[in-house]
Amino acid sequence: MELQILLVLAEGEAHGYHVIRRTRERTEGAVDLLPGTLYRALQRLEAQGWVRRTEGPLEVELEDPRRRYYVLTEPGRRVVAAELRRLDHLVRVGRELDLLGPETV
Amino acid sequence: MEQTFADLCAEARGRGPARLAVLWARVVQDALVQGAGARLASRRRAWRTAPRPRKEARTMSFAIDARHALRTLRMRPAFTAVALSTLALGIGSSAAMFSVVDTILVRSLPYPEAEELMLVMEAGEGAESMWPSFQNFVDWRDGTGAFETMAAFTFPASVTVLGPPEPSRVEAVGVTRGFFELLGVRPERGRSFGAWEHRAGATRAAVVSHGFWRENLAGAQDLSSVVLEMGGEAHSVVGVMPAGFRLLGDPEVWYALEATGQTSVRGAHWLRAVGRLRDGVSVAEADRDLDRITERIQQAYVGETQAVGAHVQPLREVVTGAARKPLLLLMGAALLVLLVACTNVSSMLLARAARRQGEVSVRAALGASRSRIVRQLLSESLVMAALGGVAGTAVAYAALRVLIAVAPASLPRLDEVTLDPRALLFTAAVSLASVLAFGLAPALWGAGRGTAQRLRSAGAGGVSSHPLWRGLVALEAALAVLLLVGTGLLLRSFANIVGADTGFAAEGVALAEVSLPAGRYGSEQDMARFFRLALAEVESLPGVERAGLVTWLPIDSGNYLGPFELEDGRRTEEAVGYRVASGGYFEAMGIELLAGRSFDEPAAPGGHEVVVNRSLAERYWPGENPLGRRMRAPGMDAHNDEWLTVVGMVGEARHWRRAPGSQPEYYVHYAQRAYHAGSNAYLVARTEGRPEPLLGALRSRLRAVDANVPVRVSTLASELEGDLVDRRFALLLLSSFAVLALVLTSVGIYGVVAFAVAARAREMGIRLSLGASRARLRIEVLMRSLTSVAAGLAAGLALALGLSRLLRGLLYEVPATDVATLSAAVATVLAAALLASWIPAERAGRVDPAAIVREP
Repeated sequence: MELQILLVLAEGEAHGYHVIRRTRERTEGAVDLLPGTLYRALQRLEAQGWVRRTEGPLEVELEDPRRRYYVLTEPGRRVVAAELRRLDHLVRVGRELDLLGPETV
Repeated sequence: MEQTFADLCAEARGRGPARLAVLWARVVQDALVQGAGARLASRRRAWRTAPRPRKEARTMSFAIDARHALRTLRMRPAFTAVALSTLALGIGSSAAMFSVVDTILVRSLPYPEAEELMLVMEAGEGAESMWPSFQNFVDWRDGTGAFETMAAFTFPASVTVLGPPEPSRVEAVGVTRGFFELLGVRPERGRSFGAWEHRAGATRAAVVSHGFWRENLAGAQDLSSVVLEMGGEAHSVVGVMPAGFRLLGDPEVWYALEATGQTSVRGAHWLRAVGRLRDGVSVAEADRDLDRITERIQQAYVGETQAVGAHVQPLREVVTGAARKPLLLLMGAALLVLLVACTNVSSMLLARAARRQGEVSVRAALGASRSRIVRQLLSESLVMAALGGVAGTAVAYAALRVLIAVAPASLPRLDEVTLDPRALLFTAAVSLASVLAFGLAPALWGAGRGTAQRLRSAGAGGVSSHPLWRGLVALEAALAVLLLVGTGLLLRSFANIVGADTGFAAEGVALAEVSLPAGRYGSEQDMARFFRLALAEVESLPGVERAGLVTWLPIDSGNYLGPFELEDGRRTEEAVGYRVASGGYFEAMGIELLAGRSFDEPAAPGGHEVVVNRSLAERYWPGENPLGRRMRAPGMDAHNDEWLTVVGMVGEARHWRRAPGSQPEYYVHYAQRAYHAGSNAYLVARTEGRPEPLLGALRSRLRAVDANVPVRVSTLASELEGDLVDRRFALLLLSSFAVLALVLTSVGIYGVVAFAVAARAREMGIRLSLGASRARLRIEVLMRSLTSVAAGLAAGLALALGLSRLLRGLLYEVPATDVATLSAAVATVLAAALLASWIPAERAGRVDPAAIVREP
């Protein structure tokens, strides 16, 4: 779940609701986050230094000061990349072992 | 986070209300789970070894949880039944009571913008309040800047209406112009009075109540020809007020006050004045405004009025004032019951949590995620709370219907009472809070260690000595005894009232209330003649031992005529009770004759006799024989200067509703003050045996004397009973709450003790096999439970003594710290606790040591 959040933030900075929507789209409804869970996860990610809170893009700031935006930090970006590489490796192993069907490309 | 939530809501709302509701439920659940999870985070990190399993998908898992929760509850029917009914009773009774209190005491009166309506009284020298006179009212109304409008109205007076179908007595109220408009209520038929009808000498008009219209006028559609003869004048009926319209009295007829031309003097206290405040004006400002006007009145009309200021009070307070204390008391009782119910449910959930701790630790060890477990427990709690809430609503609704049906009609605004959703929400929230708190307990205690273990463990002290359990038992005992003490005191008070020595005989007395219509009885001789004939008729009725006449029953204080003079020149200022009676009255009423004689019958026309009661004699002729003394009773009439000679002294005739202590009173024969008797009098008949069978004959005999005189028959016992109805009702409610609390407390204690016994079964088995006696075990269990109860009783008693002040105004001849009542309450709770603890204690003694020890 945290990976999903990081992936959304990799697209650019986002606020809570955006993250929820995007993960829902991405996973086709399989991961449907609720605010409580989301913000705890974000807190954990922040504590580990992978995510940072920002003020939000300048254009939007005026219309809604309550929104908090989150952005991926450099270490965070690296962690995402590392994790994706690891998964990629696993996928390859899976393909070799014939575990994955033809639909996975 | 709120913003995100708001966005989600907006999205869900677009897809329909069901989605919104589901979203809400899931978010609440999620928030609680995350909150609980956060607390556990540190503990988890300590022993976490394997990577945390991924979060499972959560599509519609809330419904699954709910169904599972229902199944779990169904698997333990006894637990569920007791828990739910406890919740339902607690929520239901409090919500019903709260609705009643809210409607009657808090809600605005049913007039438009009722918060602006004020009652205005004259303020006297000693800051006492007096009813205003017409002249003062007019000056206020015309001179005020604080009130939009003002109007005045009389106290309801019984008048004779010679009209369809036969002469009857109705309550009539005279109103000044703009009265109905001020209240903002329009007649449902016809119209209210026009300005021209509020002038002296105008043609008389009347507005009638819905009830009068329906019953006496048979619901006539066309009012144009309906005429009522009242007070010797023909009043045409111009309007009908809607059903339920009333204000400080429930009259059937209203008439224009000014038209009668009787506006009395500035110093007479006989009207009630109401006003509607201007926007933005405060009560204090209105008060000052009228004070200023009153000062000017004082200066302009020196000596004519006692008013030195005005007193402005919100009308709602006046209407509901008398009911305030008892209602608040009952509300307190209901809250106590709610508290006991919540405590019960909490302890049941705690016990269940302790029992299930094993299950939880196993599941956690097997890898169930913490939040999953928490979510499941939460769902169970929510389902239970929801079911309890629904059941509670049903109970509240039923309780309210019963309450309204049983309540005395004198309870103000009773017809406005409905179930208040806020009341329901409040009580449901309280119960929900306790259910949630204790339902989640197993998760919050961590996996298989800590508090839960201590609660269960068969340690040296054992589970029932854990402070939490003892605390719960003590709390319930305290609440129960508090409620019982209050109820007991009021019960004793009531018994005192009913059993009080009144100085007259309440049983075996028939009454006929008559009033001579002004148009037909113009002179005192006519009135006196009627009474002579009437008394003769009544006395000759078979079954009547003695007949008499009196203007006011001992229930009321009698007319106060103001100061009276004694022959040695002393003048008394105090108000003394005065009644017009006949010679046979004292015997008929069972009032003891202490000295001298009663009036001669028939009274000599020129005779000036007076009978005094013992208080009066002792007050004004202490230590002397009152017979032969003379006094003068001013009557604002031709009899002012006549000296009356005391011919007899009678005992006190008291009634609990009047001020305590003795009251000086005197009686004058009706031949001397016939017009007082003419306006309203009771013919009193002492009967052999029960008076009820004679009522019909009594009535027809009196109607035979003059068919134009309305007669209302009843028995003295039923008149007295009327006063008691209110108290009886309040006592009924209070006793119900007390019994409920006692039952719930007993159930609670039973539960705790049973749980303790079950949890310590192993230890007991071991002790038994080591030779301990069963009796000893039983006694131990009992003692454990009773010590907690005793602690609770002590606390409850202390609380009761502290709160005794609250009851003071309601008690009659019972001290708020009455020892007998306190002991009885304590004994009752102790007995109930003993009984509740006995059964599980018995079971403790019957534990089979072999079976227990063999268990793992």
